Amino acid sequence: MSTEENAPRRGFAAIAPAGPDTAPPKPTGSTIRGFPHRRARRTARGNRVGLALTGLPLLLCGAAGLAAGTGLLGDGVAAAPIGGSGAGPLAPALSWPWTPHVAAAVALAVTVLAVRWLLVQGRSNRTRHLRLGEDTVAGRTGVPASAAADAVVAQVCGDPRVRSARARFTESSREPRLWLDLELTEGADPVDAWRGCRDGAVTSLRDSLELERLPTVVRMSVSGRPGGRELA
Amino acid sequence: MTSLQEASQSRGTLPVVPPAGARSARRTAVRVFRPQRSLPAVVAAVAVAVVGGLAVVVITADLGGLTSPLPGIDGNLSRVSATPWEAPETMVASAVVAALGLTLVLTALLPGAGGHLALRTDDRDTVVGLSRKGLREVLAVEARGVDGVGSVRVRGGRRGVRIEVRTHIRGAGWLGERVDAVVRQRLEALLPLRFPRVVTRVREEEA
Repeated sequence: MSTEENAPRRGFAAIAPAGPDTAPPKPTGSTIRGFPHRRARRTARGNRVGLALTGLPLLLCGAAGLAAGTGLLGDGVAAAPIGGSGAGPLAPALSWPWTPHVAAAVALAVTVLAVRWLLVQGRSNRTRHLRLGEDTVAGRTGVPASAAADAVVAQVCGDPRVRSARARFTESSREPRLWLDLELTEGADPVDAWRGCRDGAVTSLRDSLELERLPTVVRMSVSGRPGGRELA
Repeated sequence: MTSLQEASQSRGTLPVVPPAGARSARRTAVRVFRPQRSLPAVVAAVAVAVVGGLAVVVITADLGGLTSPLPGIDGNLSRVSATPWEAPETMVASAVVAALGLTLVLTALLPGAGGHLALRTDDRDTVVGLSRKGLREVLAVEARGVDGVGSVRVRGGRRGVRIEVRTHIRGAGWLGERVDAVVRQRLEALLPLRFPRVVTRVREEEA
């Protein structure tokens, strides 16, 4: 080992003394309140609002067109061309010099909103890093989310009821949420499988990440073909 | 205690006192498995973006006094604006637009079917769902275990399941009841948040 490596450098000098004596661990309080998967639901809510805002004008325009065509708004309206005869109640508004500018601005705004709505669909709130413990003046400790996910998957797949598994973390690196997809073998009891998974892999992960809470969504499917079945 | 409460207690299906946090766990589970409506949203967003973009191009070209970059659209617009409201094509177009709007509004408002059957966990930090395919598979395995059952086909999912049993036994009305009971028992053991409807049918096969 060379002397250069032993020489204290700025970064190491700061990290080395960091311990229970210099930074006493504070009692952590979970800030997770109410529904823990808030961001996962935000796109869904946006989609509902967007669909309603797209559908409502279409519905109203279609209904108005039908009403005009069937003569509910008067026989004169029904016989009039769609573009207007140039003497209708809307004629002054249409001949106003700023009308095309307003129409262009509205169309542009609608287009931008629609493109944003489209881009939001691909949004994922996956977390790449998970933080361990409290930040100290010395620095912070983290673990790649993929490493933690691999560890969970390895532990879950040790259960004979589980054929394959996939794990990912979302929301925040400080208070992550776990999404676990399990494929069970045919004949496995789903209730036993999720209980075993929660009491085993999820609990040990929560402990090793030093988290108070680890809200977990377990999605199970059942494989139609068990590995060991003989076709006879 | 009424006889109904006694019956439910003796069967062990309803806990008399729900554990603390069970209500919030239930609400979380229901929300997690609500559908995202991604496909209708993508279709609607693309359509709105295309129509809006074309409108911007046509209006700004007209404002700038340029020759229209899309003469086809301009020609169609002038033809459409000369059509009377009572013309059959206008009526059909209005009806189509209204139906499309109604479909979108209903898609937004109706709760919709998520892909998973939410299971009861009584734990606010654990949300568990069984996929529709998984549910069908679990129930099919259970129904196949009943004596006299030849083959089983399970359809449906979260809201209701239809179980079609084929058998070689003659006059097997009792078999349907037995399969129904076994399947219901299996469903109860899964502890779903909402119990799906179960319909069982027995078909006698020719030997």
